Amino acid sequence: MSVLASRMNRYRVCGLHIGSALAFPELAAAPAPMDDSLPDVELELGEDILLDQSGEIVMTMEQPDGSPWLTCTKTKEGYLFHFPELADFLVDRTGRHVTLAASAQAAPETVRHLFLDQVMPPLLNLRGKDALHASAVMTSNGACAFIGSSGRGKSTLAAAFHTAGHAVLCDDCLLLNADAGELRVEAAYPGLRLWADGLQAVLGNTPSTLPVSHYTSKLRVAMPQAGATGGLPLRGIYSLAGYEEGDPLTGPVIEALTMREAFMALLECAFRLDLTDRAMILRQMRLLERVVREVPVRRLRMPEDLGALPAARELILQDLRREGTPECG
Amino acid sequence: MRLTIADEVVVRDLAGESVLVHLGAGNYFGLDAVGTRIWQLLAAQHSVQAIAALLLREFDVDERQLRLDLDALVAQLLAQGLLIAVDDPL
Repeated sequence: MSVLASRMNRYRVCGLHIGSALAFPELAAAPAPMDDSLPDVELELGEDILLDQSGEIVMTMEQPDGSPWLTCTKTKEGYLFHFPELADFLVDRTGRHVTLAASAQAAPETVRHLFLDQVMPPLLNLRGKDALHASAVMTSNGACAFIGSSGRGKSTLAAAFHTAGHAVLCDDCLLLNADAGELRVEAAYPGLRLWADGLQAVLGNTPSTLPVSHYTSKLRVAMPQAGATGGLPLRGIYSLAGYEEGDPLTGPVIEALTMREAFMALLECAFRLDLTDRAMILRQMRLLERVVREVPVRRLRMPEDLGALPAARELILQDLRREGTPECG
Repeated sequence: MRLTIADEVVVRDLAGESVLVHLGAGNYFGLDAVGTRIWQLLAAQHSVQAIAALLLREFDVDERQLRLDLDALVAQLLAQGLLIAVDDPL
């Protein structure tokens, strides 16, 4: 093994072998390949990557107060993810090489969170892959994913499955894989990010936690790796929603969605790096159409009450069994 | 003035409903069954007046409500850049 290769921290994220100059205590280390092959994605530290990085802005995200959170610019070298006063990540056009320049004031856990949860998911597009902003768990019928807007309860619902013995596959990014013919999913990395009240109520006092970032009080809970390399069959997707005004519902309810509603829900939660990349948009649309034609996508309405989680979990498990999907060994 | 579909729009037909995606802008718009029928008629270059007349024959619906809904949908599609208003040549 070369000296340079031996100094890398190695992880597996989004099905990719990552070689990183940065250590990620959030992740389990992956073994180095015996053949000294290069990692799929290399993350290295650099400085002054903002020099001569003008270009077209392809993605922006704002903070609740309207100030910029993320600006992604398509430059001649690749895509520059600029998080003001925190960090810059320059991703090359192939999605194989990432250079990080972090602000000296940025909390280390924040920088790591930005790479894992804000840069890696859209980076997948550059590698011809697509992923959903979703949490996912393993059931006896296969992988089951939860989508929905931020704060809707995807993570706490996944945690409720964990307490009943179901492995958590991921909490934020679920890779869709149709390479081998069958539609399969692969988790970005195992773990949950929970608010303290949800963590306490659902998981109790036992898990050790790490901070997610300086700007949120959510906590990371490590989970063991679940699911085989190459992915798992996807058996159901549940779009989480609350009750509507005047709704007489008192407990969780599963509702059917039209194929159009399901497709729109998946479009809403699919990671997209460059909206001007027409080939990527078309590819993603074809894949999502395949998902809604092959995988049941339903709406789960539930109250904002942690006490409703066990009932929601059982409702989903019943629904999966009713679909008649084969048991996973 | 006539209405025409924007060049960069692709349509996904999903069990009688559809989703429109503007490839250049990346925005998307869902249409139920009636909206899908309206889109098909727009794509066939029918005028809004002609579309209203056709829909009144196809659906049992109040004419005033139909025209209001049709105008509202066309306005939304224009605002999203999925439909373009083009001046007729003199």
